[in-house]
Amino acid sequence: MLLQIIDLGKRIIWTIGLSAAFFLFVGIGAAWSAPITFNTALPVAEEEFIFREQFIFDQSGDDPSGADRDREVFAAVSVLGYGVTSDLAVFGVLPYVDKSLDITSMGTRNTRDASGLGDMTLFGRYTIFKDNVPGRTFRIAPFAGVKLPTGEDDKTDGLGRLPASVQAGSGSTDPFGGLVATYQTLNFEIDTQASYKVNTGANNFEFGDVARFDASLQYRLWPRSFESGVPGFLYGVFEGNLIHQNKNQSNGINDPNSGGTTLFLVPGLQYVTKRWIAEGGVQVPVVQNLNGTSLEKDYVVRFGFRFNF
Amino acid sequence: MKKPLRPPVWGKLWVIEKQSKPYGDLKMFYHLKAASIMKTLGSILFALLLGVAVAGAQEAKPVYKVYVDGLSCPFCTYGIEKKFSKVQGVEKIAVDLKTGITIITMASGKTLDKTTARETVEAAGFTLRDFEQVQIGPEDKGKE
Repeated sequence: MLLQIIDLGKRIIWTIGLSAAFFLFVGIGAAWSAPITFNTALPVAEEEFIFREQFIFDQSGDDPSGADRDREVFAAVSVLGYGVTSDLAVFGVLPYVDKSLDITSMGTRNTRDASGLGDMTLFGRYTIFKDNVPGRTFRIAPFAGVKLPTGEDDKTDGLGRLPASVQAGSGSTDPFGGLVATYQTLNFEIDTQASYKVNTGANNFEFGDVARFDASLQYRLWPRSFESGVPGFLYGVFEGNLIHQNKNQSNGINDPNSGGTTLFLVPGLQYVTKRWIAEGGVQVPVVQNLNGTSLEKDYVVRFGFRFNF
Repeated sequence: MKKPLRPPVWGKLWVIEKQSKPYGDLKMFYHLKAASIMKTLGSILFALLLGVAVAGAQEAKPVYKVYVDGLSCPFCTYGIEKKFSKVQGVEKIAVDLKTGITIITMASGKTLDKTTARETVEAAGFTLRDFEQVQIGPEDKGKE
């Protein structure tokens, strides 16, 4: 128990240090103001920056294969956003990941793990439609970007090369795009997003493409009413993520034990002020229609903050 | 006969004192003297405050109401504040989220025009609905 606490402490220190390093390296950053698990169409002011840090703990352990696999992923994701214009914003995303996979093979329990900087993502978002009225806004914004192979993807241990799902990076350059829409009032906000990511191959391995549809409702819980100024808002958050992933390919051959469809429901809370946002939520998989002996998700915990410079 | 103690002659006050009381009541003398000094200081302070008030009235700063459409959460209001804070001459910014009205106070001698207000609001990602000056500065008074 003590060792676990010390290990967690080390992870947090690493996370803070790397986040600070990333922040200093990039110079500035980006972040949005709405959903916890995906993007929003709300604006980043021209020539201004927003920073977001999110900590993610992803637990998978319901293994139908008999190998008793148990996978944990801890990630600290730093996001920096910059408003090129009031309609065009660019974002840089850099994760620090710590992955481990426990697996029983031939009667022996093994742990395989990797940690370090993951793959960086760069993308832009352009507002193609906005309708602003007193106390309300509606916006539609397509976005497109690319995930770069900045993370280590060839780590080995005593058992050989780690499986791709445990490597810190994928080794591949993967483009993606989508569309996000946001309707926000003083009382609530609704965001929806559809996106598609084309995963390319590296090291004779290719993750399946990912299509997802997300929706989020944030409802102001407190204050119930307000008169003047800019008070902090406490939102109750409820989100849904419908994610489909095609089968992975190894040496050009589909892996029958990969890919499938998962539906997450995400209850959460968000406290929003002028300068910062604190938020947290738990992604609970309510439907998992996975292929073969794919490892099922147990839950994903997300918490973090955003900061307006 | 022993001569009574005589305080220094400090003008009129001493004359009054002399008429009302015989020599020797130094305690009463200094009490009256202190009252006189306080009265004088009070007059000076009043004059100073009056002067400051008059000067303040002459230094009234231009204040504008900027009506912003699309503001609907606390995090977004900061973009408006940041953009207006970079406009030359802006001294104070107060956003009211419920009404979308932003009160801009300019430094003395500075003004804000509607075009600048619109550009600033749009740079923050929002829309200018209306713009009005609610208090004029001294430089505007001559134009009335």
